[in-house]
Amino acid sequence: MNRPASYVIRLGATALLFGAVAVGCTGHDRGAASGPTSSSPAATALQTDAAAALQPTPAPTVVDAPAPGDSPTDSPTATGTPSAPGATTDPLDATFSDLDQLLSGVNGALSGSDASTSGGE
Amino acid sequence: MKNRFPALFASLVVGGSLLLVSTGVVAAVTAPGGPSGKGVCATQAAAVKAGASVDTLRAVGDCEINRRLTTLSQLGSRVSGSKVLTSSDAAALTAEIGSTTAGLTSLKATIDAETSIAALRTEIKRITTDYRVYLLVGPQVNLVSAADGVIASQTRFSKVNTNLTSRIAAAKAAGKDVTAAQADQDKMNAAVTAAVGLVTPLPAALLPLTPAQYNGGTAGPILANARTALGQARDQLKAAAADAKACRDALK
Repeated sequence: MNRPASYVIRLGATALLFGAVAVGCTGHDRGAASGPTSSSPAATALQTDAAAALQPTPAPTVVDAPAPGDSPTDSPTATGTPSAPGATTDPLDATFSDLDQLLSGVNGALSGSDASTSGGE
Repeated sequence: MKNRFPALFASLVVGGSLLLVSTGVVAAVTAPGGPSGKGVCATQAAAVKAGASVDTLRAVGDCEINRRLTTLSQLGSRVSGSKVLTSSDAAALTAEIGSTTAGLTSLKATIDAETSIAALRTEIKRITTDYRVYLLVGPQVNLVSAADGVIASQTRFSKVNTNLTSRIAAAKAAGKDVTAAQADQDKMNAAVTAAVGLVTPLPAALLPLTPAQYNGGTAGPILANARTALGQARDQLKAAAADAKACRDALK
C-alpha cells in the first residue's frame, strides 16, 4: 500500500530536479543574452550560436546558390571543400564550380520564363 | 527496476515539458506573397464584384498597375546586375522595361483621373493588353538572360578544353592510353557547340516581340520555341560538364 506513495514521491522529486535544471539552464542563457524572453529571435539565435560553438569543427557551407528566377551570374563565388594541408587543388575544380553556377542561373531563368509561375496576366 | 521505468519516463516528460515552456517555441513564419502573385489584388477585385463604382474600379486598376511596376523594377535590377547579358541585349531589355514602366505610370494617372465607369473598365483592360508584363516582358528578360548565360558558358568550356588538351598530351607522352579521355573531350566540345547553336538566334527573335504580337498570337509560339531550345541547350551543357569531368577522371 505504501509502494505507490513512494513512487509518487520519487516521481515528484525527479520532476522537480529536471525542472530546476531546465530553468537554471535557460536562466543562464537569458543572463548571457540580456534579452527579455528566450523565445525572442535574438535569444534563439544565441542558443543556436552556442550550439554551433559546441561543434568540434564548423561544417563548410556553399554560399550564393542562386534562387529560382535569378539571373545567371558569372562570378566564381563557390567555396570548394577545404583541402588537407599540403594537398594541391585542381584548377579545373574552380571552373567546374563556376560552370555549375552558370547552369543554375540558366535553369533559374528558364523556370522564371514560364508565365504560369509568375502570377499570370 | 521494472517499476522504476514508468516513474523515470514520467519525470522525463514533466522535465521536458518544463524545458519547452521555459525556452518557448518559435512560431513558423508564413512567407508573404510577391508582387506578381495571383490574388494580390483579390480584395479590390472582390469589391468590384460586390458593386462596381469609380472608386472600386480605380482601386483594382491601381493595384494591378502597382504590382506590375514592382515586377518591372525587379526585372530592371536583374538586367542591370546580370553579368552574362551582352551589353546590347541588356540595353534592349532596359529600354523595354523603361517604356513599359512609363506607359503603365501614364495609364495609372489616366485611371486616377477617370470618372466614367465604362471608360475605367476599358482602361483597366489596357493594363494587360497593352503591356503584357507577365506574359511577355518577364519571359523576354528570363529567356534572353538564359540564352546569354548559355553563350557565356562557352568561354568557361573553352578554358576547360585547353586544360584537358594539355593533360591529354601529357598523359599520351607518358605512354598512357588516352582513348577514353579523348572521346569524352570530343563529346564535351560537341555538346557545347550544339548548345550554343541552339540559343544563338534566340535574343534576336525574342527582343523585338511586342504586346500586339502577343495579342495577335504570333509571339506565343516564339516564346514557346525559345523555351524548348533553351531546355535542350541546358541539357547539352549538363552533359558537356559531365563529359569534362569524365575526361579528367579518365586521366587520373
